[in-house]
Amino acid sequence: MLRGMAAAFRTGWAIETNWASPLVNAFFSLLRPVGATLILVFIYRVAAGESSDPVLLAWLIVGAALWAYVMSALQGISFAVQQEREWLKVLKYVVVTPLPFSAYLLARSGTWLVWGTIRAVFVILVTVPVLGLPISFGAVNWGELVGAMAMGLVALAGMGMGLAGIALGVARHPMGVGEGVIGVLYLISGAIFPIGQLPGWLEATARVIPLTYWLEACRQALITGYDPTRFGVGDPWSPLAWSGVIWLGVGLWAFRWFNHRARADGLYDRTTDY
Amino acid sequence: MIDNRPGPLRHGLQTVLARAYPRVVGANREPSWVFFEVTLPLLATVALVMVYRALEAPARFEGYVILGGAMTAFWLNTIWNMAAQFRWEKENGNLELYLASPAGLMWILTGMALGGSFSTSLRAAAVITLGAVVFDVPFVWSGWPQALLILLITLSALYGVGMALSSLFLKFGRNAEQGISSLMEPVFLLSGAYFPVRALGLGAAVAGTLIPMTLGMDALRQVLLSGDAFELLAWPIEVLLLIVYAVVVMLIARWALKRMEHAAKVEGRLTLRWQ
Repeated sequence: MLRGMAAAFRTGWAIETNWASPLVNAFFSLLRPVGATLILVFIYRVAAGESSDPVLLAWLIVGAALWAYVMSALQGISFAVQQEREWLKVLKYVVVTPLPFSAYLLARSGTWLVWGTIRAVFVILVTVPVLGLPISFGAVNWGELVGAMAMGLVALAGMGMGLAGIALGVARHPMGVGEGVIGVLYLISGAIFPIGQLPGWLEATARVIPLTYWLEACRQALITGYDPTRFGVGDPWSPLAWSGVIWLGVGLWAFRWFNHRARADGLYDRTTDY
Repeated sequence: MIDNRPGPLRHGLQTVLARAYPRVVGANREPSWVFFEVTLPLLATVALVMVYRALEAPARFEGYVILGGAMTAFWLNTIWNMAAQFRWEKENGNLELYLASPAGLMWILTGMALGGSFSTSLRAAAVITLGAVVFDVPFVWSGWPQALLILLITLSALYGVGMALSSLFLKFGRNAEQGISSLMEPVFLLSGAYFPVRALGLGAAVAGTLIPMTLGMDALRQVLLSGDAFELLAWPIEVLLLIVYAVVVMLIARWALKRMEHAAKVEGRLTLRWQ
């Protein structure tokens, strides 16, 4: 199984990166997250004017940087289904291999973890010295950071598998479903503004999503002088744990259900030209 | 013998209508696009408005996001419904049919742009409505006639850019698609889509004017938003610059399309998929 997953990972990596050399790949891959982060930086500068709140700016930047994982995971895993089925037309061959389909998908789209890490680390490494952010690598709580990242990424993988299942089942707009979910999460997970700004019912929804607590836990670990009571999330650890487990379970169950339905309805080789 | 064939202009307009027709009629046959193309993109706009609110910025800055969200919809239409379209037509096997037909490539692209404008205009209108009704952005409604003029001229320049970029997609295929896709956020940054472009500094702001959206948005903010618009240039000057830009970029597009079509034929790329 591990050999199969390694082969699937190499396949996904080749598909995603064989259009250019590694340096060119890395350059273009970093443009979007850097551009998105700089947009937030200039919004902050225009809105804040002469006043300066480095902790708030660091809060914004960390959210924007970590969002690279969310984009990569939720788009990458569901996009792999569309690629394999609609464009490469090999999905029906993949599902008859000895490697479980879920394992194949996770490994095939495993580039999301690599690219998400490269993008997030690059954004933080560049912005900390340039903007004078209160993130000191000697003061980072590495234990908390690693724990938060592990729990958050597992929850993300579960969400991605759920979206992959939906991509298997929908006739049109499989990518639109992924982008829509990302858009909704961007709005309600506290990525770039505190969840306290949301109406009550949306804030309540934000509090059952693991990403809200994942981002908060990472910010607490990274930012020096961070006040955990400032942005209204509270203690993130146990909510991250239970919500992550729930969303992982829901995602895997959804994938299993849609996969069964795809097998029953003969959807493995359906093409819709979308 | 009477020649009943249409003249070049009428033939071109027939081509535009023929290419726009499937986009408009096809969209109505599959109403799910309303949700995916209009509703979902509002989410990013709402998120950035909430950022300004979290930073306790004056309400006019929310207007920047609203107008930026509307204009970026047209930019995305230019890139994905126009510039990248020929590559996708190549993947579907339609490109060689286009080239073998008497229809000119620029007329076909114009039809694609106009057809795509149907859903794009709805999306832009939804963003503006959201801003006016939900976020209560203080638009200056008396400025709408000038705003429509600015928008039409900006779109002409934008679609000229789309035509020029389509030649890149024809030549470089997948590489161009990856490159252009990666440039989305940098384009929004340099064009000041969500904040005054002057905040970038004069040099970067001037460089940003290479993107027609920059001058268009700056002009729209001056006529539609009250208060200090942090303008780059007075809007009548920006309109004149956009007119010149549109003419120049259309000429470049015409030359580039012919060159790239010839180069693609010589290199055998016209029917090559996944390249």
